[in-house]
Amino acid sequence: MQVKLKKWSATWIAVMLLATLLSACSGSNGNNNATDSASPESTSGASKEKVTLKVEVFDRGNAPAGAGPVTDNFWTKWIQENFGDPNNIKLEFVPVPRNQEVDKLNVLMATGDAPDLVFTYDMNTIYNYVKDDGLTDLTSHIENAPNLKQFLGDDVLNYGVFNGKQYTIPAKRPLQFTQSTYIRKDWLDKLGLPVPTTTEQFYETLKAFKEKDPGQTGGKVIPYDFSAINGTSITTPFVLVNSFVKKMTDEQFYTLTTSSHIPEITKPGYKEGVLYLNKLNQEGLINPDFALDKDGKQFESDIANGIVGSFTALAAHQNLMSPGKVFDTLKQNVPGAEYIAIDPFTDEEGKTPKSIYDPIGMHIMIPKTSKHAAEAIKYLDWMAQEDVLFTLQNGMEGEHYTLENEFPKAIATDEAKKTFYNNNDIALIANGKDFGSTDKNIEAAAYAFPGYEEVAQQSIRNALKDGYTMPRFDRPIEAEIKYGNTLKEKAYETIVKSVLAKPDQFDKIFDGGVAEYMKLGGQAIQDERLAAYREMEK
Amino acid sequence: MDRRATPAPNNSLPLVKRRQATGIWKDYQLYLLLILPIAYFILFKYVPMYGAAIAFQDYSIFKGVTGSEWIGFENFKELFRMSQFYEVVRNTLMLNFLDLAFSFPAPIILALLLNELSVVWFKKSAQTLLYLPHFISWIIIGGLVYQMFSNQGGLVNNVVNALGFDSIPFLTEKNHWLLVYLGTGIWHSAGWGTIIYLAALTGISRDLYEAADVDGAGRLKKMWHITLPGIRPTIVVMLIMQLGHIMTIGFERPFVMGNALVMDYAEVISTFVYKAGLQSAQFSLATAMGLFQALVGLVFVVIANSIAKRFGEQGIW
Repeated sequence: MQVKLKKWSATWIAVMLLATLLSACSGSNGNNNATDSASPESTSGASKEKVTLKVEVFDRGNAPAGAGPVTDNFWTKWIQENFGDPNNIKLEFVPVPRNQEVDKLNVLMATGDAPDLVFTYDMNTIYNYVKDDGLTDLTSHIENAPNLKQFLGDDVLNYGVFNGKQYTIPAKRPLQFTQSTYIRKDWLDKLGLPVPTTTEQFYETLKAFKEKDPGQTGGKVIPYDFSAINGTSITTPFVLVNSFVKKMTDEQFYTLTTSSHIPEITKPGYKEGVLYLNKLNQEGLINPDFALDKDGKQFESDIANGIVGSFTALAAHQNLMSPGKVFDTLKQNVPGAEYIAIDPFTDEEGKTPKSIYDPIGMHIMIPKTSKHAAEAIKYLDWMAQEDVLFTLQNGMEGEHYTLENEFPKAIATDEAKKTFYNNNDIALIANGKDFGSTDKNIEAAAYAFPGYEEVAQQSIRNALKDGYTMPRFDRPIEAEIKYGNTLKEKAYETIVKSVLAKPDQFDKIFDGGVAEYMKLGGQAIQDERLAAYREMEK
Repeated sequence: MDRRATPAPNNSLPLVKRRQATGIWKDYQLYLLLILPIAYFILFKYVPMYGAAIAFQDYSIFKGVTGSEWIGFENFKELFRMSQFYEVVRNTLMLNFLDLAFSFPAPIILALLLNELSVVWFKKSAQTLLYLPHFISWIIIGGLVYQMFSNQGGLVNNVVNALGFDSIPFLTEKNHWLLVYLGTGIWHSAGWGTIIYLAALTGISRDLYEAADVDGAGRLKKMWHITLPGIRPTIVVMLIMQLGHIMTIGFERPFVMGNALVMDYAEVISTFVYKAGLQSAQFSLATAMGLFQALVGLVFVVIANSIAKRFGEQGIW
């Protein structure tokens, strides 16, 4: 009896456990089915009926309290009222986390349930979709969108032509800046130091920050800070590293450059740049835990707590300078604290080179599965009207901005913040505001950051100085599509390990990483790029 | 239960008729009851398996399973050619075997200890506290670990520094990281794992303990000779199931706890599948990896089960 009971209970337990495991697994399947079956119901129907237009929207997880989620707030309602209702269209916003946009987009596309308007910055993803014929050909559609065509212009639209067809609609980017370096002005003043203008001076300044600790942080000072260099946060040390890269021939430049933000660890001189960071680490001048800060939040809180001397990050960025963000918090925590923008990383010729963006922002696409390409284009065309775009980018006059020198200046009250955030993400077709000239654009961009106009302007000017754009080929590099992500990981890993290596290990780790990088597909990419370059030059 | 299995009219049937009523028809009510669960398994476990076909295809998300080109074992060949493949398989096996060695005995020991407690309110509250970590998501645990163990400003290293030593690179050096990884695993699952053993413990007859008392056995002797043998079938079943999962590794734990410095150990099958499949859109390659993983898992279960049977346990089938 005893044995039998034991037997039973053992099997029973096993069955129960298996069942719970299995049901846990299949739970997610159930969910997918539910969403799948719901979509055709809402999107199909007679033409007279209301059409549901689904639009992707970035979720940066930064909605202010009381503002409502990115899918349902002041602006989604405004768009519904001004575009949706008159055209008998119901807009539905589909949130995608900013730092997982590619993964989420791939999943959405694979389920056949992608929004009618999707977008990405990732070129490899776009090449993949074009190659697999997953996008709607917009060549004829775009002819129905006069406002959009006029706003973007042929130059910008050309970036969206693949194999002779208009597959994507690139957003316009009036200012192509990326990163600038910032430094604590109050610390410089306190120590009587000049604003550093060369790498050497910058180094001396960091040493002074470390030794004299002008912020009285009790030894917690991080003279030069950045977060994990995985391409998703706003800060990297790459401007510093790239300033060590040596002059190259055109052929080398085309071959050794990579797209999709793979660190270019094979460029001549790159190793010296990484070695320099290693030296900074040895002397305690950078944050030894940078690799653990995978989303850049620790970085932002360190700045706000006033223990960071300097850093390099995207110029004029909302995370830093928008009302209530990092710089504001810093001011509250440390009265008198102030960052200024500097441009100290000089190369062998005394220039301060950095890579800048193409004149386009993200690529907007309409999946082939979408039945509402016409409505989607209509939406973009509506958005391209001057007054609509202006409102989307700047808000309501008197409520979100006031006009100053004919430029909109943001209002920084709590009330305004609640109904105005992430508008850059809603105004899909433009990456920044266009007022006709670079100077005007810089001035206007800075007005978005009340209280920080000067540092915003300076950071943009720094970020544009001696900038160069990526070389373009007339066709995608297949090897890069295939190995791109693997190599990106490998390159990051190599850099992180090299920076934190003991000095006698540095060569071994860096060279070993590069060798592995080449083996994993780096060589294949370079070969293909070289071939494509020679073909183009012919 | 018994009454339904042998309906009353059966008794009055002549011998010949009763023989005809054997097989499925005899207990048809029971089989009817089974239809629902079986349909569930077919619908949700077997039908979705057609998706595994993309491991043998040059899969395009826009053409679907039916439209994509069949390429035989090309994906597997490519997989076995990749040097990363061997690394992630090695890491998965290493992390899982270490987990097995350290995390598997933990709940057994804990259950034995709890079993010895006689103060009921203390036992109950201790159990509840031990279960709690199980309900904390790995994302949050990742944050806690970072706060506790980071080099600069981490709680543990603050103490280490205050005692005059250099920071210990818990999260940035791979061997230290391994310790933290294993420790976190025990912390997370040991308490919850005791439930099944405590349940098995209640099945042990009190008579045995009384008899042992009469014979003058102490606590440890009773544990060794009565308690442990009493839950041995449960331990074996759990072990077999663990072995079945030896190639499977949760995604969140290595992904959240890993960082670029410890990728030599932290890159495992699940994170690799995520990166290759979802991030690089190489769905076929990722599926091939998943299929390979399932096959190896099956082999492990079969081997473990036959070993268990050889040692006189029942196994799981």
